[in-house]
Amino acid sequence: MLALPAWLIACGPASDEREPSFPYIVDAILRPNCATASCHSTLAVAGGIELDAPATAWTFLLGPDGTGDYVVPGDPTASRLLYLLRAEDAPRMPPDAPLPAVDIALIEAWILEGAKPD
Amino acid sequence: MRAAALVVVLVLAAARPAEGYPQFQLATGAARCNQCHYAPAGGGLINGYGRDEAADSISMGGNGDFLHGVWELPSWLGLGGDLRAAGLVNNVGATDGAELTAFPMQADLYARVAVEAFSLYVSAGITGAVRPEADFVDRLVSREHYLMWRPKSVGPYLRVGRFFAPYGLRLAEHLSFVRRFLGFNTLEETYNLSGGVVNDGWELHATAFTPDPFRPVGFEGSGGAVYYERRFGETFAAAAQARFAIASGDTRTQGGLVGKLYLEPARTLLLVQTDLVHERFDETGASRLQWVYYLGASWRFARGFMVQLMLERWDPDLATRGVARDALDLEVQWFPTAHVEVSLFGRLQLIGPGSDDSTGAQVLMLQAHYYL
Repeated sequence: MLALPAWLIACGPASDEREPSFPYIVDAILRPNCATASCHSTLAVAGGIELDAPATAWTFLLGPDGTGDYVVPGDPTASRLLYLLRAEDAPRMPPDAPLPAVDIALIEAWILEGAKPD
Repeated sequence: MRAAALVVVLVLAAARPAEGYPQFQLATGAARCNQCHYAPAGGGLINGYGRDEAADSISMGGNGDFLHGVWELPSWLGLGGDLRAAGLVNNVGATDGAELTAFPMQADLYARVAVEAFSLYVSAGITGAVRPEADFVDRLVSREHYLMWRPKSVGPYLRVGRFFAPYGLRLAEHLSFVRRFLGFNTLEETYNLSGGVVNDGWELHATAFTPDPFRPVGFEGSGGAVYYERRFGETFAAAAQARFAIASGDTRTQGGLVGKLYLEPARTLLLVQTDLVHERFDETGASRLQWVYYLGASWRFARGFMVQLMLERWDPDLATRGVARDALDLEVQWFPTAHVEVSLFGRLQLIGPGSDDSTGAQVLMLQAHYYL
C-alpha cells in the first residue's frame, strides 16, 4: 500500500543531481527535519545545536574554532554527524523521522568537498 | 484548592498545538468548524455547542461544560484547557534498539473575553517534548493570542494576532505530513492579519502572515494564504487553497485541494488534502517541486469510538529519486465520557521508497487527553 505512488518515483532521474552546498542542505534538509520546536531550533537548541540557518548551523557543526567533531572537513569517517544520521553505534538522528539515504549521501559529499559554509 | 492544584499540574506538564478534529465536521451534523470552536476556522477552545456535542454525540456521555458544569461561566467569558500525556515506542532502526518513553505532551489553558462583537483570546502553556532539554522559562509559550471582530458566528470577521493561518485540513496530529512539512508543525504559528466570511454553504479565509520575531520555529517566511471551502449538501465539502511566502534566501509558492465526504450509511468520513510546493533557494539558484498528500478515513462505528486509517506522502523533490517518505497510520480513539479521550496511534514509515537504500521506522503511541 505504501508503494502505491511508485510509478511517480520512476519518473524522477536515477541519480541525485543536487549540488552539495551547505545553504541548500540546511534549507532543504536540516531545517524541515531537524530544527523542530523541541529539537534543534532556536527555541530548543537541543544538545546545544541549532540548525535553523546556514550561518549558525555551520558554526555549531564545525565548532566555533573549527575543532568540533560533528563535521570534520574532508573526512566523513571522522564526522560524528554521519554516524548519528545513520544510527551507526549512535542514537538515530532525527529520532522520529530518519533521513533518506540519498540526503545523508549529499551531506557526506559536502563534507568530502571540504564542508564549506557556502 | 483543587483548582489551584490542577493549574499547577497543567503548568508542569507540556504543550503541543491544540488544533481541531476535522473528523467531526459533517459527521456530527456540524457543517462549519466554528459551530464547535470560537475560532472562525476551528481549533482551540470549544464553545457551548461544541461542549454539548462532545457530551451528546461524540463521547459516551457526561457533562461537557467547563469543569463538568460545576461553575457556569457568564456568556462573555470562555475558559478551558487541554492536558495530554503519552507513552511511546519508537523504532527507527538504531543500533541501541527501540526507544521506550513516557512524557507530558500538552498543557494549555485558554481564556476568551468577549465584549459585543469584539473578543480577546489568549492561550498559555508549556512546550511539550519527548526529550525536553530547554529551561523551564524557555518552555513557557502562548501559542495563540489574538483580537477578533466578529458580529455573528456566520458572516464576516477580522482577526489579528498569533495563530495558524487557515489552510488545509488543520488536523490535531502534528505528525501529519501536511502539517509538519507545510509550515504548521508545533509552535510554527505566525503573526497574522486575517479576515474572511463564514457561512453554512461556504467559507473564505485570507491571511497575511509573518513569523514570530522573537522565537521563530521552522520556515521563517512572510506572505499570504487563502483558503476557500464550499459545501455541497450536508455530506460533501471541497476546498481550494494557495500560499506564498518569502524568507531570507528561500521563496515558496504552493497550492492545493481539500476534500471531505461523509458516507452516512458507513458512518465514515473521508478526508483528503494534497499540495504542490515550489521552493526556490536564492543563494544557490536551485529550486525544487514538493508534493504532499493525506488520505484519511475515520469510522465512528459506535458512540464514543473512532478508528482512523491514514495514508500520507511527502516528497520534498519530485526530480530526485529516493527522498520521499510514506506513512501508513492507524489510530483507535475512545471517548469514554465528555472531557476524556484515550487513543492508540501506530505509524509505519517508509523512507526513500523506490531507492535501493529505503529504510523503515515504526511508532506506537498511547495517549490520554483531558480537557477542562
